[in-house]
Amino acid sequence: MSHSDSEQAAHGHGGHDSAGHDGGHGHDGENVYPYTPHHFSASKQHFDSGKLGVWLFLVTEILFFAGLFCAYTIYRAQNPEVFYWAHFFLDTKLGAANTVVLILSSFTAAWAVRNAQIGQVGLLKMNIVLTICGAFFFMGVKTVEYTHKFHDGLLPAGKFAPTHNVWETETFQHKHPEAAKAAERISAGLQARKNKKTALNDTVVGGSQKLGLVPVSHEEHGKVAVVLPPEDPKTAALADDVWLAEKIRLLTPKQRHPLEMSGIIRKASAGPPKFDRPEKAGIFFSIYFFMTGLHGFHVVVGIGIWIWMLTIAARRRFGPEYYGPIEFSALYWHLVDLIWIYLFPMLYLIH
Amino acid sequence: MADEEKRSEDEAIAEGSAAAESAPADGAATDAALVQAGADAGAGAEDSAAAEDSAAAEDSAAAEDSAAAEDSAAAEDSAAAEDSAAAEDSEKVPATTKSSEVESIVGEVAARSADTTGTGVHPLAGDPPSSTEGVHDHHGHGHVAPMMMLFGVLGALIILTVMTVAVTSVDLGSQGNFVVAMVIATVKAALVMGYFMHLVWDSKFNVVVFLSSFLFVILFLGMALLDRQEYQKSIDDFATTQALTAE
Repeated sequence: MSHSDSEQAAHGHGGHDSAGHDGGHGHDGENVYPYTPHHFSASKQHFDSGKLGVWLFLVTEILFFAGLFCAYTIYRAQNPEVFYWAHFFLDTKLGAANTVVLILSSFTAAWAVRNAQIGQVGLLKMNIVLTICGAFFFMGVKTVEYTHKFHDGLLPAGKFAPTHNVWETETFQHKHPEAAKAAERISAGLQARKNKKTALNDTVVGGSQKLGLVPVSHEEHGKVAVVLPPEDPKTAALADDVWLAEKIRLLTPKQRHPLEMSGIIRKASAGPPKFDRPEKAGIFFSIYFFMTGLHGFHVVVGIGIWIWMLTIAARRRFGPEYYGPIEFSALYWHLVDLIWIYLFPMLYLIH
Repeated sequence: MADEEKRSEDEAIAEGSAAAESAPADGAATDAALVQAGADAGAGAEDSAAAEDSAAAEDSAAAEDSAAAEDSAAAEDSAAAEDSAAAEDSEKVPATTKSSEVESIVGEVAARSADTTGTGVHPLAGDPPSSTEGVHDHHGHGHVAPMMMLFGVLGALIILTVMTVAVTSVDLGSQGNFVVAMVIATVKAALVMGYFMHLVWDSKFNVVVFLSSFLFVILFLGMALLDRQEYQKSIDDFATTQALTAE
């Protein structure tokens, strides 16, 4: 019994080929369903085994990402201030735009499955192309985001060297204007004290070049550096940490609370006064780059898969009997969307 | 005669899908046309028996009238089923098979018509969501998502995205905002899984397989969270030792 004969028998059809099995594009002289390998007894079995395989693959994907989700959960539970501090460096608008684009491209993928099921060749190709466009748009936005992060020194922990303070970000200034101003003043005051000391050291010791804190160049933003009023000689005479403690004590709750939440200062009960970014700030960007990077890699793989599907759509006839490849690619694509649905609020929408 | 009918049937199918492609956003009418085309594809499958041919002719006649509403389509289908059922006793089995094929594509409408015509011997008639399960000799392996549903899910997902962004400007306490964001994300995920990924219509086994992964993720996160303070003392000790040696 030949290959095609056994298929026919399995379908319970008569001895001759019939048109109309594949969504209405009758091609005489071809097999009814030519794409089932011989080790499957019917196209239904072929489809179902493929689908189960894809679901199992998606399970492994979820467990794969679960490792990173776990890292996120633990580090956020341990260092909530790091996450609050870091989220000001992310652009919620770009994140939201990417979310919408990915949802749209998931929608076109789901539509493509429908097109394949009912044999709409033109619409199928259109939807695959739209899905690919969405993926490219997503990666384009990611490129813009990553470029900004690299430029600002917001890199994974080992290379982490931010060029800006959090209160200099637009997001922080928008959300906590009072705290941003207070932080700017304290920062400038500390810098002035440091400069004075360095000048003294320079004259006394003769050129110690130990510049612990390089001043942040405000000119880069077109802003003028904060000009401080001449300080009360009494406070000026205080030691650095006492001076800082005094400044922090004088903050209003609206100024203090955001700075505390983002780990720039700490509660008096939690230890000596400090005024700096949170200690483990780099951890956030390690997690950020690993999570979005792995997700981005999946998007790139998805682009490849959809291009492959486009070539298959050009060669084969999809219909109610045969649309597995499109369905399986769409399942993968929806999973990529699913993961982003969680990544977006976890990384961009920290409150 | 059979050839002639087949040709007309093919034309009807082509017409149906052409109508569908030309006006993709045209909600119900398009869906009706598509359903018709699908039904015809199913009807065209049975081509040996004369009774089947006459049934197919009925269907293609209905399809040619591409503006036909779903109700009239159902009427045609039931008429066809009745015809073939009345033809001969031995034809009764393929007739049922045929109506199950139609049902798998047309869904509820055809299922109801199969029921009312008395050919409701079919065990799955009247249970449209799972009608594709267990039927091995039929056309189409899965549920075809209606356009309205796809657009509805898309709209809901976008509205939820806007909501989740908007809710960040409201202070709901230290954990409140996170919980709300996660709940919204989970609703979105459920929509994607249920409707875009067709889990609502998929076999229960696949649903169990996929959802089991979440069980393990919860176990993983839960156990890790339970344990997270366990080594804090060692970490702190290490940090102080480091600080001391640095000094």
